[in-house]
Amino acid sequence: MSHLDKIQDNPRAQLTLEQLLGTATVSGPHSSEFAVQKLRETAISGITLSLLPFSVEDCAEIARLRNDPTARYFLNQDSPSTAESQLAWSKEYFKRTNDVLWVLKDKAGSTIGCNRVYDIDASSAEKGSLIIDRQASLRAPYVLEAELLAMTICFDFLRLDYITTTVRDDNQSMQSINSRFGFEKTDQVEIRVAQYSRYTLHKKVFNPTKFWSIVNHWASKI
Amino acid sequence: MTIKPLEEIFAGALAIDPKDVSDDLTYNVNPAWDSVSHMILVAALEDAYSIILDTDDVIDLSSVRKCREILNKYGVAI
Repeated sequence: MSHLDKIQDNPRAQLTLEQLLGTATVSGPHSSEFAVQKLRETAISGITLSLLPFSVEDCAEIARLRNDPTARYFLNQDSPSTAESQLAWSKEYFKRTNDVLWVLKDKAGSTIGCNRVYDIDASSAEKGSLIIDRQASLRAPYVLEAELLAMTICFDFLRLDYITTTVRDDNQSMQSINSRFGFEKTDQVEIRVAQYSRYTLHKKVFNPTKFWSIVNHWASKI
Repeated sequence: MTIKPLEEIFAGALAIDPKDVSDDLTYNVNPAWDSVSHMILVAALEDAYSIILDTDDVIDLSSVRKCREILNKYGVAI
């Protein structure tokens, strides 16, 4: 059974990143809508964590993550998230064909965060809404692997030319992380009274090898 | 065996000048010490000193000063 067959027969198939990327070459050229649909149906098993496609059952957990005070500040969220508000958001999400939200789980199956790529078109996507539980973020390279998986999926599965991200100016941690990956600042914007910088990473600049070696270093510890 | 200076390991992991590594250098206070560089740092310390840090020590590793204390527990006197 090919990896593509696995996805078609079992909508919630769990693949490694390598297997997922293998389906991109096996299936030939694909539209971004087709690829997004596949991402919404496929759990991706990483080295330290798994990416599970968002479903309505995750609404309460996503609301909990977004209500962490630090997350809420950097997401510039005026009011608390609730399971109901997340459910309302999800109704629009499932109508869209250019947006993928993942719930991140550690190898024990506990929810540790979420990550998202959206505004996906033929050449680019925006990455954002990365939240990792603060304590969890120090236990293993979850932030690193979550970002590497999202970016690799963008460049090698969705076959995009570049990724953008918009970061609040006082989010120095995320700015530092993006800078390490090679993102360059392209714009300054104001969103709901807060100052943000927009960054872009082109595929030809993306070199994840040394970052994957860090994630692999942890494989034996987990 | 030559012991790699701690300042060099921190400087390499955080991509900062070794001159900027002091005992007061603290996780998430200095922007260069973010959660990604923290993981790079842990891997670098483990490789340089041939140790494997417990998860609790990885979490506790919050400053250069604290790092020296933790390494001492593993028999690495820096």
